[in-house]
Amino acid sequence: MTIQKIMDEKKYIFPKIIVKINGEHVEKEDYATTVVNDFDDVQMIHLLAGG
Amino acid sequence: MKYLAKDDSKCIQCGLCEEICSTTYFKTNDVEKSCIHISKDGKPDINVCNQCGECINICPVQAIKRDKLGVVRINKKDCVGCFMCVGFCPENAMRQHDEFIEPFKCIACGLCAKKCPSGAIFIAEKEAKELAYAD
Amino acid sequence: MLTNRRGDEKMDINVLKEGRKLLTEYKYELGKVDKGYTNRTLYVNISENKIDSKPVTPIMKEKFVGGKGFGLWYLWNGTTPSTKWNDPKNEIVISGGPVCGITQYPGSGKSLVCSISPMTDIPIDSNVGGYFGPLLKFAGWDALEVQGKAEKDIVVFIDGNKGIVRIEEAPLEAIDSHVLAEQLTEMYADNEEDKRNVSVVTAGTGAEHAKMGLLNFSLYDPRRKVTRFKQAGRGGIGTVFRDKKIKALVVKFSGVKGNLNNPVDQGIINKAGIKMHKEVHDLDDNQNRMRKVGTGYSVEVMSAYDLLPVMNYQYGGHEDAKKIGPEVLINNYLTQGKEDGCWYGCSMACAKTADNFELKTGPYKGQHVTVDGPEYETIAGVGSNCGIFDPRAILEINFYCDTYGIDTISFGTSTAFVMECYTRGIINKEITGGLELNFGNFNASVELLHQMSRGEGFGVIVGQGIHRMKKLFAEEYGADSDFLFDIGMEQKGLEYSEYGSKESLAQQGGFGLTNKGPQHDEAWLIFMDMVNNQIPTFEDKAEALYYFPMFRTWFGLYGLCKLPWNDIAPANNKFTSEPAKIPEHVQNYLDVVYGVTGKRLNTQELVTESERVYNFQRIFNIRLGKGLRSNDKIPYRSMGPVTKEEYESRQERYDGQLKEFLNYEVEGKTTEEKMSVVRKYREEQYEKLTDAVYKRRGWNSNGVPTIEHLKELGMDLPMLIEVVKDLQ
Repeated sequence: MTIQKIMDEKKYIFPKIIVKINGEHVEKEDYATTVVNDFDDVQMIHLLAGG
Repeated sequence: MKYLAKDDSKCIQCGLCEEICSTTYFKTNDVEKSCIHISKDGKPDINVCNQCGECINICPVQAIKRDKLGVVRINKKDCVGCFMCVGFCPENAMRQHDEFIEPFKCIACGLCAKKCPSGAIFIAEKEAKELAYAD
Repeated sequence: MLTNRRGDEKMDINVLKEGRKLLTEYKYELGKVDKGYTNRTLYVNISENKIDSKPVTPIMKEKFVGGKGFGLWYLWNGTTPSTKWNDPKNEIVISGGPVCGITQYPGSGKSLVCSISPMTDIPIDSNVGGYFGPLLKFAGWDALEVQGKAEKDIVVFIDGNKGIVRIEEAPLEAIDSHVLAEQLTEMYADNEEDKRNVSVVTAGTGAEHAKMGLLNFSLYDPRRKVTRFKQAGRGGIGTVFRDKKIKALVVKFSGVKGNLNNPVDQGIINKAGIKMHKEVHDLDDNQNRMRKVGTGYSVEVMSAYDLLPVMNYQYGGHEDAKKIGPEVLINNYLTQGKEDGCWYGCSMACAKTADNFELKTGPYKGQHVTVDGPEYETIAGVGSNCGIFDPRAILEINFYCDTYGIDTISFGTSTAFVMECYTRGIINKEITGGLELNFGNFNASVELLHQMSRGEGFGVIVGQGIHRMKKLFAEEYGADSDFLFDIGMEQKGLEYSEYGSKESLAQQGGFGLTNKGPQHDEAWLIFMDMVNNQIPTFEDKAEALYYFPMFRTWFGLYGLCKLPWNDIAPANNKFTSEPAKIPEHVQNYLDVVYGVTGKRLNTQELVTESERVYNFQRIFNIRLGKGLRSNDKIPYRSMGPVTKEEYESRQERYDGQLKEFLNYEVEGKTTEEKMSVVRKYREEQYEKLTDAVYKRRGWNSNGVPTIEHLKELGMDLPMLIEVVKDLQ
């Protein structure tokens, strides 16, 4: 399961996302190739301002 | 249009161009008040306006226009000092100094070219890639 | 090819001038702005035709700063607890703030307008761009305070270069903004170049018959050669304006330069401004594309995340959202490449326009106009929330709302309410005068606007707003008031702005626990809460509902726009400890405030400044009868699924939540049974959130600021203690 797959499944289309696995940043160009393992702490923080 | 052309490889980083520019226009020898900037260390890099005209569309009060020689000029009277032109210049060649409320830029006067000992800068002509909106 | 907004209309300025009658003239000494303040405000009483200068007092600067602070201060002092929106005593106060008018930092030309709202009967504060605020300051005034009512339509004109203020009867000018603003800009400008030095405040014919009237603040666009508008949209101040028989306020000032605020440290301002210009230049294209599409960038995203209001907030997304999404707008409607800041130096430039747009309906049918917008709120409000997914339709409604002086948010949400009522048979064609107000019916929707302008028909009823319509429909047509309360998306009398808060408890508080009513200027926490799950506990949410409203409303004290704060972020923002706060930009603001005023603030002091005015406003609400816990109740549609269809359309989610949070067995239960459990749970959650938020804000469980908290803030003013002392 890669980061990109997770984002596709959750329909995370918003561009300003911060992705971290176990506290480490994952850059956009690495989403398709970065694999998420069981027990990894994955954060996908959207910076949508709104208003 | 008229512009100050450059050849970085010929620059010997003597700084005479900066001196003549700031002295002429601001009566002081201060590189921060020069329209042309030369790198001091490493490879010679000449930074100066190439009259591309991108700033013309950025200015909210249309204070920037080409004159009849094609040189991009700021109308200081109309300028409201927002410095968006400074921020948007693709060459980072629009100058700003805190003592002045308007920005300033190279107007291809050629004084620095005359002083340059190595022919690294010289006045030349080129086709305007795109002319400013004729508002 | 850009054509002038007014199309073929000829207007003879001399004819208009001949109709003028001078009622009073006031001459004043031109002054200088000192570190952001002119230190005086202009008082104009249009009942007595009296004009005066009032000093800005130390308490005003210390406790109220400027902008909204000054507005609320004057409004409180000028009115009594029984003053209604249409009493002559009601005021309209316009104030920018100490940073207003600098030209270097993006978003520095805002003003706040304050008045007692015809919709809520409590103070409304409405923020607006355009040139009026800065030009008013440079003309010599930290605020303009208008009180009274004129006998006949008047124009108030401030000449900031000559030091003259005039009140004149103005019978012949138009009332609708797009015509009137052109007339007045033409009339007062010396020539074409001078037009940008004139700014006018106008409303429109719609504001004469609807409670949701807005004010347009103009800016002259020298490239498009047209007057354009930004809006003080919320709360019906345009209605107060027309009720006072004000046709327009005009300010003229030529000579805007970057240092007119006479700042303490121009260099620090320049540095911050240029850094922001570079940031926008480098990053906007890959972030929100504000320079290309403006606030409408988020429409498709909101739909993808089930947050876009669709059909009166019943649903959060629609497959047709892309038809009104940013790509369509950029490619087909919005003029690209123009410098679209609503004050000088705003490189965020989000004020987009659709130019040469041909109107297909109404009195201006056939004219080719410049439409200011569409903003996200308008697209979602008059578009998806009404089931309309045609960008042309949205632009036409946008234009008419603007020129008639009608708030697109209140109009959109009210029309959505009416469409649901019509769909469910609560009202019918007889009641609507033949208008088939089904979702998606653009012709019926725009006709409501034309009716508001003419003052006849069902449109006038819609223009009264949801709060009054709920009462009317129950009393006159036997509607079920409980159901109407559930689906009528208003609170305190003001319509909700265009975000689905159903799945975000924090945003329910972000709308419900506000001062003016459910407007998102205070808090926009949906993603932080729902998507990012960054504020999971009540305490986390309460902390966010303390910090963000205080932080976000701080801008309105200074003349700053919130958008450059977080609609663009520095490249390294994601590496900071609290990226949602955009810490580098917060520091920029502290630098700019210091640079203009010499005042050194840290983030805590920034929050405290705002908190003073925030608590003042809460107590002002209490003074006028709507500042207690019972007024912070919200309609259930903002909290959860009201109808079976809503529940079943998201059944997996709701069933899942029942299992996860309540250990509730969904097998064998009817939708109605499940809905009832969900409702009870969510209503309890909101109560708990309310408790936590009040506590964090230093209010008691009834939502009243405690005297102890007021003392901590330095706001234990006798006038405030008087209101709260018996409610402790």
